[in-house]
Amino acid sequence: MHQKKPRDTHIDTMAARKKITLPELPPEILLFQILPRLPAKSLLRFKCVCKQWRSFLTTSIFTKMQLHYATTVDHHEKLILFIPGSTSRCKFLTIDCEDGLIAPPRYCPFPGNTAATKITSSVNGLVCVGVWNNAKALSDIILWNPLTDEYKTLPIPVDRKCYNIPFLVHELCYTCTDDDYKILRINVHGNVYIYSLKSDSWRKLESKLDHPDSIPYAGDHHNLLDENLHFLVNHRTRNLIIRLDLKTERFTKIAVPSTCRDGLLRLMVVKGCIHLTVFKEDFSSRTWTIEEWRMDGDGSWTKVVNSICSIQDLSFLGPLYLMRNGNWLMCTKNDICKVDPKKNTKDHLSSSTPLAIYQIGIYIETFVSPNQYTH
Amino acid sequence: MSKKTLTLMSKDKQLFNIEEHLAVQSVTIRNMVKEDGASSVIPLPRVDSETLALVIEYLNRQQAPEEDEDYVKKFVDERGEIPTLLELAQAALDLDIKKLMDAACMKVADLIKDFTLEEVREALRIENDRTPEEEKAIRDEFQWAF
Repeated sequence: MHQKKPRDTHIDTMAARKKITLPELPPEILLFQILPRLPAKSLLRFKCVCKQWRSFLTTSIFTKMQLHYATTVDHHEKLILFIPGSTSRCKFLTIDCEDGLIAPPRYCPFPGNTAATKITSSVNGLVCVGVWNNAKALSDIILWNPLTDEYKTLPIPVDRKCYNIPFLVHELCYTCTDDDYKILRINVHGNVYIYSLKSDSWRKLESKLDHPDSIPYAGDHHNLLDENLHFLVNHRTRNLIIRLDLKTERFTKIAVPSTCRDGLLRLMVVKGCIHLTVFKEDFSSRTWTIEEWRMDGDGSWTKVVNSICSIQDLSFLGPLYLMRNGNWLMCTKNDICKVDPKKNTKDHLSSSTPLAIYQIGIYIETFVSPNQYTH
Repeated sequence: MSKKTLTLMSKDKQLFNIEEHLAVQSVTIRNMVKEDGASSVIPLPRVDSETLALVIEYLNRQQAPEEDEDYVKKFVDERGEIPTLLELAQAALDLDIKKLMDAACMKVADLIKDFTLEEVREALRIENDRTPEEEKAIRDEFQWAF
Protein backbone atom coordinates (compact mmCIF):
# COMPACT_ATOMS: atom_id res chain seq x y z
CA MET A 1 0.00 0.00 0.00
CA HIS A 2 1.32 3.37 -0.87
CA GLN A 3 0.95 6.28 1.54
CA LYS A 4 0.79 9.00 -1.05
CA LYS A 5 -2.93 9.68 -1.04
CA PRO A 6 -4.54 8.36 2.16
CA ARG A 7 -8.31 8.77 2.08
CA ASP A 8 -9.24 8.99 5.71
CA THR A 9 -6.72 11.56 6.66
CA HIS A 10 -7.30 13.32 9.95
CA ILE A 11 -4.05 15.22 10.15
CA ASP A 12 -3.25 17.96 7.74
CA THR A 13 -6.90 18.69 6.94
CA MET A 14 -6.17 22.40 6.90
CA ALA A 15 -3.59 21.90 4.18
CA ALA A 16 -5.98 19.64 2.29
CA ARG A 17 -8.77 22.19 2.49
CA LYS A 18 -6.68 24.70 0.61
CA LYS A 19 -6.61 22.48 -2.44
CA ILE A 20 -9.66 22.59 -4.66
CA THR A 21 -9.45 19.02 -5.93
CA LEU A 22 -7.09 16.12 -5.61
CA PRO A 23 -3.53 16.90 -6.61
CA GLU A 24 -3.15 17.28 -10.37
CA LEU A 25 -6.65 16.06 -11.09
CA PRO A 26 -8.25 18.21 -13.76
CA PRO A 27 -11.92 19.02 -13.09
CA GLU A 28 -13.19 17.30 -16.23
CA ILE A 29 -13.37 13.89 -14.54
CA LEU A 30 -15.31 15.09 -11.51
CA LEU A 31 -17.62 17.57 -13.20
CA PHE A 32 -18.19 15.95 -16.58
CA GLN A 33 -17.84 12.25 -15.84
CA ILE A 34 -18.72 11.56 -12.21
CA LEU A 35 -21.36 14.12 -11.21
CA PRO A 36 -23.69 13.30 -14.15
CA ARG A 37 -23.70 9.64 -13.07
CA LEU A 38 -24.95 10.39 -9.56
CA PRO A 39 -28.61 9.89 -8.63
CA ALA A 40 -30.56 13.14 -8.94
CA LYS A 41 -31.40 13.16 -5.25
CA SER A 42 -27.71 13.08 -4.28
CA LEU A 43 -27.12 15.95 -6.71
CA LEU A 44 -29.76 18.08 -5.00
CA ARG A 45 -27.80 17.72 -1.76
CA PHE A 46 -24.42 18.15 -3.41
CA LYS A 47 -25.38 21.62 -4.60
CA CYS A 48 -24.23 22.60 -1.11
CA VAL A 49 -20.73 21.15 -1.51
CA CYS A 50 -19.17 24.30 -3.00
CA LYS A 51 -19.98 27.28 -5.20
CA GLN A 52 -18.47 25.70 -8.31
CA TRP A 53 -20.72 22.63 -7.99
CA ARG A 54 -23.77 24.75 -7.32
CA SER A 55 -23.34 26.79 -10.48
CA PHE A 56 -22.27 23.82 -12.61
CA LEU A 57 -25.21 21.66 -11.50
CA THR A 58 -27.67 24.29 -12.72
CA THR A 59 -26.26 24.63 -16.26
CA SER A 60 -28.18 23.27 -19.24
CA ILE A 61 -25.15 21.24 -20.32
CA PHE A 62 -25.19 19.44 -16.98
CA THR A 63 -28.96 18.85 -17.24
CA LYS A 64 -28.39 17.18 -20.62
CA MET A 65 -25.54 15.00 -19.34
CA GLN A 66 -27.47 13.87 -16.27
CA LEU A 67 -30.52 13.14 -18.46
CA HIS A 68 -28.36 10.99 -20.73
CA TYR A 69 -27.20 8.80 -17.84
CA ALA A 70 -30.60 8.74 -16.16
CA THR A 71 -32.25 7.44 -19.34
CA THR A 72 -29.59 5.04 -20.57
CA VAL A 73 -26.82 3.82 -18.30
CA ASP A 74 -28.46 3.71 -14.90
CA HIS A 75 -32.11 3.77 -15.84
CA HIS A 76 -33.97 4.18 -12.58
CA GLU A 77 -37.68 4.70 -12.88
CA LYS A 78 -39.88 5.80 -10.03
CA LEU A 79 -43.56 5.55 -9.34
CA ILE A 80 -45.24 8.79 -8.45
CA LEU A 81 -48.46 8.56 -6.48
CA PHE A 82 -51.04 11.14 -5.52
CA ILE A 83 -52.32 10.32 -2.06
CA PRO A 84 -54.89 11.94 0.22
CA GLY A 85 -53.80 15.44 1.16
CA SER A 86 -55.47 18.78 1.61
CA THR A 87 -58.29 20.21 -0.51
CA SER A 88 -56.10 22.88 -2.06
CA ARG A 89 -52.88 20.97 -2.72
CA CYS A 90 -52.10 17.47 -4.00
CA LYS A 91 -49.91 15.35 -1.80
CA PHE A 92 -47.57 12.90 -3.50
CA LEU A 93 -44.91 10.36 -2.78
CA THR A 94 -42.43 8.51 -4.94
CA ILE A 95 -41.32 4.88 -4.92
CA ASP A 96 -38.19 3.48 -6.53
CA CYS A 97 -39.36 0.87 -9.06
CA GLU A 98 -36.38 -1.42 -8.51
CA ASP A 99 -35.67 -1.35 -4.78
CA GLY A 100 -39.18 -0.41 -3.64
CA LEU A 101 -37.94 2.39 -1.36
CA ILE A 102 -40.67 4.90 -0.53
CA ALA A 103 -39.69 8.58 -0.21
CA PRO A 104 -41.47 10.78 2.36
CA PRO A 105 -44.61 12.51 1.02
CA ARG A 106 -44.52 16.11 -0.22
CA TYR A 107 -47.02 18.62 -1.54
CA CYS A 108 -47.28 19.64 -5.20
CA PRO A 109 -46.21 23.26 -5.80
CA PHE A 110 -49.28 24.05 -7.93
CA PRO A 111 -52.83 24.48 -6.64
CA GLY A 112 -55.36 21.75 -7.27
CA ASN A 113 -57.55 19.29 -5.44
CA THR A 114 -56.27 15.69 -5.55
CA ALA A 115 -59.68 14.41 -6.63
CA ALA A 116 -59.66 16.65 -9.72
CA THR A 117 -56.04 16.18 -10.76
CA LYS A 118 -54.76 13.45 -13.04
CA ILE A 119 -51.22 12.37 -13.87
CA THR A 120 -51.41 11.76 -17.60
CA SER A 121 -47.90 10.99 -18.80
CA SER A 122 -44.24 11.68 -18.22
CA VAL A 123 -40.99 11.93 -20.13
CA ASN A 124 -37.40 12.86 -19.21
CA GLY A 125 -38.41 13.77 -15.67
CA LEU A 126 -41.26 16.08 -16.61
CA VAL A 127 -44.71 15.01 -15.48
CA CYS A 128 -47.85 16.17 -17.26
CA VAL A 129 -50.81 16.80 -14.98
CA GLY A 130 -54.39 17.52 -16.02
CA VAL A 131 -56.70 19.54 -13.75
CA TRP A 132 -60.44 19.70 -14.34
CA ASN A 133 -63.34 21.68 -13.00
CA ASN A 134 -66.13 19.53 -14.38
CA ALA A 135 -66.50 16.16 -16.08
CA LYS A 136 -66.58 17.63 -19.59
CA ALA A 137 -63.26 19.43 -19.96
CA LEU A 138 -59.89 20.07 -18.40
CA SER A 139 -59.38 23.50 -16.93
CA ASP A 140 -55.59 23.37 -17.02
CA ILE A 141 -52.64 21.28 -18.08
CA ILE A 142 -49.50 21.58 -15.97
CA LEU A 143 -45.95 20.50 -16.77
CA TRP A 144 -44.08 19.74 -13.59
CA ASN A 145 -40.68 18.47 -12.50
CA PRO A 146 -41.29 16.72 -9.14
CA LEU A 147 -37.57 16.72 -8.35
CA THR A 148 -36.94 20.46 -8.62
CA ASP A 149 -40.59 21.48 -8.03
CA GLU A 150 -40.56 23.77 -11.08
CA TYR A 151 -43.83 23.85 -12.98
CA LYS A 152 -45.56 25.60 -15.86
CA THR A 153 -49.25 26.01 -16.60
CA LEU A 154 -49.89 25.66 -20.33
CA PRO A 155 -51.68 28.38 -22.31
CA ILE A 156 -55.34 27.56 -23.01
CA PRO A 157 -55.78 26.48 -26.66
CA VAL A 158 -57.88 28.64 -29.00
CA ASP A 159 -59.93 25.60 -29.95
CA ARG A 160 -61.43 24.81 -26.55
CA LYS A 161 -62.50 21.33 -27.76
CA CYS A 162 -58.85 20.35 -27.33
CA TYR A 163 -59.36 20.13 -23.55
CA ASN A 164 -62.55 18.04 -23.80
CA ILE A 165 -62.97 14.81 -21.83
CA PRO A 166 -62.90 11.91 -22.65
CA PHE A 167 -59.90 11.56 -24.91
CA LEU A 168 -57.99 8.68 -26.50
CA VAL A 169 -54.49 9.96 -25.94
CA HIS A 170 -52.87 12.55 -23.73
CA GLU A 171 -49.16 12.07 -24.08
CA LEU A 172 -46.13 14.15 -23.22
CA CYS A 173 -43.23 13.31 -25.51
CA TYR A 174 -39.78 14.55 -26.39
CA THR A 175 -38.68 14.80 -30.01
CA CYS A 176 -34.92 15.04 -30.41
CA THR A 177 -34.90 16.21 -34.05
CA ASP A 178 -36.18 19.62 -32.93
CA ASP A 179 -35.22 19.32 -29.21
CA ASP A 180 -38.77 20.03 -28.16
CA TYR A 181 -41.27 18.73 -25.64
CA LYS A 182 -44.74 18.13 -27.06
CA ILE A 183 -48.11 17.18 -25.70
CA LEU A 184 -50.37 15.19 -27.97
CA ARG A 185 -54.06 15.09 -27.33
CA ILE A 186 -56.33 12.92 -29.43
CA ASN A 187 -60.01 13.12 -28.63
CA VAL A 188 -62.61 10.43 -29.23
CA HIS A 189 -63.53 11.99 -32.59
CA GLY A 190 -59.95 11.40 -33.75
CA ASN A 191 -58.90 15.06 -33.78
CA VAL A 192 -55.25 15.56 -32.91
CA TYR A 193 -53.88 18.59 -31.05
CA ILE A 194 -50.20 19.20 -30.46
CA TYR A 195 -48.66 21.57 -27.95
CA SER A 196 -45.03 22.59 -28.41
CA LEU A 197 -43.11 23.77 -25.35
CA LYS A 198 -40.62 25.65 -27.50
CA SER A 199 -43.27 27.75 -29.25
CA ASP A 200 -45.55 27.60 -26.18
CA SER A 201 -48.62 27.12 -28.38
CA TRP A 202 -51.21 24.57 -29.55
CA ARG A 203 -52.06 23.56 -33.10
CA LYS A 204 -54.51 21.11 -34.65
CA LEU A 205 -53.27 18.46 -37.10
CA GLU A 206 -54.68 18.09 -40.61
CA SER A 207 -54.74 14.31 -40.32
CA LYS A 208 -57.33 12.56 -38.20
CA LEU A 209 -57.41 9.17 -36.54
CA ASP A 210 -59.94 7.31 -38.63
CA HIS A 211 -61.41 4.83 -36.19
CA PRO A 212 -64.63 6.42 -35.08
CA ASP A 213 -65.66 3.60 -32.76
CA SER A 214 -62.41 3.44 -30.84
CA ILE A 215 -62.53 3.87 -27.12
CA PRO A 216 -59.60 4.70 -24.88
CA TYR A 217 -57.72 1.76 -23.49
CA ALA A 218 -57.86 1.70 -19.71
CA GLY A 219 -54.58 2.72 -18.14
CA ASP A 220 -53.34 5.10 -20.87
CA HIS A 221 -50.35 3.08 -21.98
CA HIS A 222 -48.51 5.08 -24.59
CA ASN A 223 -44.98 4.56 -25.79
CA LEU A 224 -42.65 6.63 -27.87
CA LEU A 225 -40.07 4.82 -30.00
CA ASP A 226 -37.99 6.65 -32.62
CA GLU A 227 -40.48 9.53 -32.69
CA ASN A 228 -43.38 7.16 -33.25
CA LEU A 229 -46.08 7.22 -30.62
CA HIS A 230 -47.69 3.83 -29.99
CA PHE A 231 -50.90 3.51 -28.10
CA LEU A 232 -53.58 0.94 -27.46
CA VAL A 233 -57.21 1.46 -28.32
CA ASN A 234 -60.18 -0.78 -28.07
CA HIS A 235 -61.85 -0.88 -31.46
CA ARG A 236 -65.17 -2.73 -31.68
CA THR A 237 -64.21 -4.88 -28.63
CA ARG A 238 -60.84 -5.78 -30.14
CA ASN A 239 -57.50 -4.45 -28.88
CA LEU A 240 -55.46 -2.59 -31.45
CA ILE A 241 -52.21 -0.63 -31.51
CA ILE A 242 -52.16 2.73 -33.28
CA ARG A 243 -48.88 4.30 -34.32
CA LEU A 244 -48.55 8.01 -34.95
CA ASP A 245 -45.38 9.06 -36.77
CA LEU A 246 -44.55 12.45 -35.30
CA LYS A 247 -42.42 13.44 -38.30
CA THR A 248 -44.98 12.70 -41.04
CA GLU A 249 -47.94 13.09 -38.63
CA ARG A 250 -49.60 10.00 -40.13
CA PHE A 251 -51.37 7.13 -38.38
CA THR A 252 -50.76 3.40 -38.92
CA LYS A 253 -52.86 0.57 -37.53
CA ILE A 254 -50.93 -2.39 -36.06
CA ALA A 255 -52.64 -5.68 -35.33
CA VAL A 256 -51.77 -7.29 -32.00
CA PRO A 257 -50.92 -11.04 -31.80
CA SER A 258 -54.11 -13.09 -31.96
CA THR A 259 -53.82 -14.07 -28.27
CA CYS A 260 -53.78 -10.39 -27.28
CA ARG A 261 -57.07 -9.37 -28.89
CA ASP A 262 -58.64 -9.58 -25.47
CA GLY A 263 -57.13 -9.65 -21.97
CA LEU A 264 -55.31 -7.08 -19.92
CA LEU A 265 -52.54 -5.46 -21.97
CA ARG A 266 -49.42 -3.49 -21.15
CA LEU A 267 -47.43 -1.79 -23.89
CA MET A 268 -43.82 -0.77 -23.26
CA VAL A 269 -40.45 -0.15 -24.84
CA VAL A 270 -37.74 -2.66 -23.86
CA LYS A 271 -34.24 -2.32 -25.36
CA GLY A 272 -35.42 -0.39 -28.40
CA CYS A 273 -38.39 -2.64 -29.23
CA ILE A 274 -42.10 -2.39 -28.58
CA HIS A 275 -43.16 -5.12 -26.16
CA LEU A 276 -46.72 -6.12 -25.45
CA THR A 277 -47.63 -8.14 -22.37
CA VAL A 278 -51.01 -9.77 -22.03
CA PHE A 279 -52.51 -11.06 -18.78
CA LYS A 280 -55.36 -13.52 -19.30
CA GLU A 281 -57.42 -15.33 -16.75
CA ASP A 282 -58.50 -18.94 -17.15
CA PHE A 283 -61.70 -19.02 -15.13
CA SER A 284 -61.90 -22.81 -14.86
CA SER A 285 -58.41 -23.35 -13.41
CA ARG A 286 -58.22 -19.95 -11.67
CA THR A 287 -54.78 -19.38 -13.21
CA TRP A 288 -53.34 -16.48 -15.17
CA THR A 289 -51.33 -16.73 -18.35
CA ILE A 290 -48.75 -14.01 -18.85
CA GLU A 291 -47.37 -13.68 -22.37
CA GLU A 292 -44.83 -11.10 -23.46
CA TRP A 293 -44.50 -10.35 -27.17
CA ARG A 294 -41.80 -8.36 -28.95
CA MET A 295 -42.51 -6.46 -32.14
CA ASP A 296 -39.64 -6.59 -34.62
CA GLY A 297 -38.80 -3.99 -37.23
CA ASP A 298 -40.93 -5.61 -39.92
CA GLY A 299 -44.01 -5.51 -37.67
CA SER A 300 -43.97 -9.24 -36.86
CA TRP A 301 -44.45 -10.48 -33.30
CA THR A 302 -42.24 -12.92 -31.37
CA LYS A 303 -43.26 -14.41 -28.06
CA VAL A 304 -40.44 -13.85 -25.52
CA VAL A 305 -42.05 -14.83 -22.21
CA ASN A 306 -44.82 -17.28 -21.44
CA SER A 307 -45.69 -18.08 -17.86
CA ILE A 308 -48.62 -19.38 -15.90
CA CYS A 309 -49.32 -17.79 -12.59
CA SER A 310 -51.79 -19.06 -10.03
CA ILE A 311 -52.15 -15.95 -7.91
CA GLN A 312 -55.67 -15.30 -6.74
CA ASP A 313 -57.28 -11.89 -7.17
CA LEU A 314 -54.91 -10.86 -9.93
CA SER A 315 -57.93 -9.50 -11.73
CA PHE A 316 -57.86 -6.50 -9.43
CA LEU A 317 -54.33 -5.69 -10.40
CA GLY A 318 -53.08 -3.45 -13.17
CA PRO A 319 -49.59 -4.09 -14.46
CA LEU A 320 -47.40 -1.03 -13.86
CA TYR A 321 -43.77 -1.86 -14.31
CA LEU A 322 -41.59 -4.82 -15.27
CA MET A 323 -38.63 -4.98 -12.89
CA ARG A 324 -35.13 -6.01 -13.99
CA ASN A 325 -35.48 -9.28 -12.09
CA GLY A 326 -38.63 -10.23 -14.04
CA ASN A 327 -41.10 -9.34 -11.28
CA TRP A 328 -44.02 -7.00 -11.93
CA LEU A 329 -45.11 -3.99 -9.93
CA MET A 330 -48.88 -4.01 -9.99
CA CYS A 331 -51.50 -1.64 -8.80
CA THR A 332 -54.51 -2.72 -6.78
CA LYS A 333 -57.39 -0.50 -5.80
CA ASN A 334 -55.37 1.17 -3.09
CA ASP A 335 -51.97 -0.40 -2.91
CA ILE A 336 -48.89 -1.44 -4.88
CA CYS A 337 -47.86 -5.09 -5.03
CA LYS A 338 -44.80 -6.91 -6.25
CA VAL A 339 -45.77 -10.01 -8.21
CA ASP A 340 -43.28 -12.80 -8.90
CA PRO A 341 -44.78 -14.85 -11.75
CA LYS A 342 -42.22 -17.64 -11.31
CA LYS A 343 -42.77 -18.18 -7.60
CA ASN A 344 -46.46 -17.23 -7.74
CA THR A 345 -46.09 -14.76 -4.92
CA LYS A 346 -47.64 -11.38 -4.31
CA ASP A 347 -46.21 -8.98 -1.72
CA HIS A 348 -47.42 -5.57 -0.69
CA LEU A 349 -44.79 -2.87 -1.13
CA SER A 350 -45.62 -0.91 1.95
CA SER A 351 -45.35 -3.13 4.98
CA SER A 352 -47.38 -0.97 7.33
CA THR A 353 -50.61 0.57 6.11
CA PRO A 354 -51.87 0.21 2.55
CA LEU A 355 -51.31 3.27 0.41
CA ALA A 356 -54.46 5.09 -0.60
CA ILE A 357 -53.81 5.98 -4.21
CA TYR A 358 -55.64 8.57 -6.27
CA GLN A 359 -53.30 8.73 -9.20
CA ILE A 360 -50.25 6.86 -10.34
CA GLY A 361 -47.54 7.55 -12.89
CA ILE A 362 -43.99 6.56 -13.71
CA TYR A 363 -41.17 9.07 -14.11
CA ILE A 364 -37.43 9.46 -13.78
CA GLU A 365 -35.57 12.06 -11.74
CA THR A 366 -33.83 14.71 -13.84
CA PHE A 367 -33.22 18.46 -13.76
CA VAL A 368 -35.13 19.16 -16.99
CA SER A 369 -37.05 22.39 -16.51
CA PRO A 370 -40.56 23.03 -17.85
CA ASN A 371 -39.46 26.65 -18.21
CA GLN A 372 -36.25 25.91 -20.10
CA TYR A 373 -37.20 27.88 -23.20
CA THR A 374 -38.34 30.95 -21.29
CA HIS A 375 -35.39 31.35 -18.93
CA MET B 1 4.79 -13.18 -37.26
CA SER B 2 6.42 -11.76 -34.15
CA LYS B 3 4.28 -9.67 -31.83
CA LYS B 4 5.28 -6.03 -31.80
CA THR B 5 5.89 -4.43 -28.42
CA LEU B 6 5.35 -0.81 -27.44
CA THR B 7 6.97 1.05 -24.56
CA LEU B 8 4.93 3.48 -22.46
CA MET B 9 6.56 5.99 -20.13
CA SER B 10 4.82 7.26 -16.99
CA LYS B 11 5.02 10.76 -15.54
CA ASP B 12 7.74 9.59 -13.14
CA LYS B 13 9.75 8.24 -16.11
CA GLN B 14 9.14 4.54 -15.52
CA LEU B 15 8.96 2.36 -18.61
CA PHE B 16 6.30 -0.29 -19.26
CA ASN B 17 6.24 -2.75 -22.16
CA ILE B 18 3.03 -3.95 -23.70
CA GLU B 19 2.18 -5.83 -26.89
CA GLU B 20 0.94 -3.47 -29.55
CA HIS B 21 -2.27 -5.39 -30.33
CA LEU B 22 -3.28 -5.02 -26.67
CA ALA B 23 -2.14 -1.41 -26.32
CA VAL B 24 -4.30 -0.27 -29.23
CA GLN B 25 -7.45 -0.86 -27.15
CA SER B 26 -6.56 2.68 -26.16
CA VAL B 27 -7.84 4.89 -28.96
CA THR B 28 -5.17 7.48 -28.15
CA ILE B 29 -2.36 4.94 -28.59
CA ARG B 30 -4.04 3.49 -31.70
CA ASN B 31 -4.02 6.92 -33.31
CA MET B 32 -0.37 7.50 -32.37
CA VAL B 33 0.63 4.14 -33.85
CA LYS B 34 -1.29 4.94 -37.03
CA GLU B 35 0.32 8.33 -37.41
CA ASP B 36 4.01 7.64 -36.90
CA GLY B 37 4.36 3.94 -36.24
CA ALA B 38 5.26 4.80 -32.62
CA SER B 39 8.59 3.04 -32.84
CA SER B 40 10.03 4.94 -29.90
CA VAL B 41 8.77 5.36 -26.34
CA ILE B 42 5.27 6.79 -25.89
CA PRO B 43 5.32 9.36 -23.06
CA LEU B 44 2.23 9.69 -20.86
CA PRO B 45 3.04 12.85 -18.87
CA ARG B 46 -0.21 12.87 -16.84
CA VAL B 47 -0.20 9.20 -15.69
CA ASP B 48 1.87 8.12 -12.69
CA SER B 49 3.54 4.71 -12.62
CA GLU B 50 1.13 3.12 -10.12
CA THR B 51 -1.85 4.07 -12.27
CA LEU B 52 -0.12 3.06 -15.48
CA ALA B 53 0.62 -0.36 -13.96
CA LEU B 54 -3.12 -0.76 -13.35
CA VAL B 55 -3.99 0.33 -16.87
CA ILE B 56 -1.48 -2.17 -18.28
CA GLU B 57 -2.96 -4.91 -16.09
CA TYR B 58 -6.37 -4.07 -17.50
CA LEU B 59 -5.18 -3.99 -21.12
CA ASN B 60 -3.44 -7.36 -20.65
CA ARG B 61 -6.60 -9.10 -19.43
CA GLN B 62 -7.42 -12.41 -21.12
CA GLN B 63 -11.18 -12.28 -20.94
CA ALA B 64 -13.70 -13.69 -23.33
CA PRO B 65 -15.68 -10.79 -24.81
CA GLU B 66 -18.90 -11.90 -23.11
CA GLU B 67 -17.22 -11.81 -19.68
CA ASP B 68 -15.63 -8.43 -20.26
CA GLU B 69 -18.38 -6.38 -18.60
CA ASP B 70 -18.13 -8.41 -15.39
CA TYR B 71 -14.34 -8.30 -15.48
CA VAL B 72 -14.10 -4.52 -15.69
CA LYS B 73 -16.65 -4.16 -12.89
CA LYS B 74 -14.68 -6.52 -10.67
CA PHE B 75 -11.43 -4.81 -11.67
CA VAL B 76 -12.59 -1.41 -10.37
CA ASP B 77 -14.38 -2.97 -7.37
CA GLU B 78 -11.09 -4.37 -6.17
CA ARG B 79 -9.56 -0.89 -6.31
CA GLY B 80 -12.24 0.75 -4.23
CA GLU B 81 -10.13 3.67 -2.99
CA ILE B 82 -11.47 6.93 -4.34
CA PRO B 83 -8.09 8.59 -5.11
CA THR B 84 -6.92 5.49 -7.03
CA LEU B 85 -10.18 5.34 -8.97
CA LEU B 86 -9.98 9.02 -9.87
CA GLU B 87 -6.44 8.64 -11.16
CA LEU B 88 -7.51 5.54 -13.08
CA ALA B 89 -10.50 7.34 -14.57
CA GLN B 90 -8.30 10.26 -15.61
CA ALA B 91 -5.75 7.94 -17.22
CA ALA B 92 -8.53 6.04 -19.02
CA LEU B 93 -9.96 9.32 -20.26
CA ASP B 94 -6.57 10.52 -21.54
CA LEU B 95 -5.88 7.17 -23.20
CA ASP B 96 -9.46 6.90 -24.44
CA ILE B 97 -10.28 3.48 -22.98
CA LYS B 98 -14.02 3.92 -22.69
CA LYS B 99 -15.08 0.82 -20.75
CA LEU B 100 -12.46 1.35 -18.06
CA MET B 101 -13.30 5.05 -17.71
CA ASP B 102 -17.05 4.35 -17.51
CA ALA B 103 -16.57 1.67 -14.87
CA ALA B 104 -14.18 3.76 -12.74
CA CYS B 105 -16.47 6.81 -12.82
CA MET B 106 -19.56 4.74 -12.08
CA LYS B 107 -17.76 3.21 -9.11
CA VAL B 108 -16.79 6.63 -7.68
CA ALA B 109 -20.37 7.87 -8.18
CA ASP B 110 -21.61 4.77 -6.39
CA LEU B 111 -19.20 5.26 -3.51
CA ILE B 112 -20.01 8.92 -2.88
CA LYS B 113 -23.75 9.01 -3.59
CA ASP B 114 -24.77 8.54 0.04
CA PHE B 115 -21.94 10.61 1.53
CA THR B 116 -22.71 13.60 3.71
CA LEU B 117 -21.55 16.97 2.39
CA GLU B 118 -18.60 16.92 4.76
CA GLU B 119 -17.62 13.42 3.60
CA VAL B 120 -17.77 14.51 -0.05
CA ARG B 121 -15.52 17.49 0.63
CA GLU B 122 -13.13 15.31 2.62
CA ALA B 123 -12.98 12.53 0.00
CA LEU B 124 -12.53 14.87 -2.95
CA ARG B 125 -10.52 17.54 -1.08
CA ILE B 126 -12.95 20.29 -1.88
CA GLU B 127 -12.88 23.49 0.09
CA ASN B 128 -16.18 24.55 1.62
CA ASP B 129 -16.55 28.09 0.30
CA ARG B 130 -20.12 28.55 1.55
CA THR B 131 -21.22 30.36 4.67
CA PRO B 132 -23.47 28.36 6.98
CA GLU B 133 -26.32 30.73 6.02
CA GLU B 134 -25.93 29.98 2.30
CA GLU B 135 -25.84 26.27 3.00
CA LYS B 136 -28.97 26.52 5.10
CA ALA B 137 -30.80 28.37 2.31
CA ILE B 138 -30.17 25.50 -0.13
CA ARG B 139 -31.00 22.91 2.50
CA ASP B 140 -34.33 24.60 3.17
CA GLU B 141 -35.18 24.67 -0.53
CA PHE B 142 -34.69 20.92 -0.95
CA GLN B 143 -35.21 19.77 2.61
CA TRP B 144 -36.75 16.44 1.55
CA ALA B 145 -33.52 15.37 -0.15
CA PHE B 146 -31.42 15.64 3.02
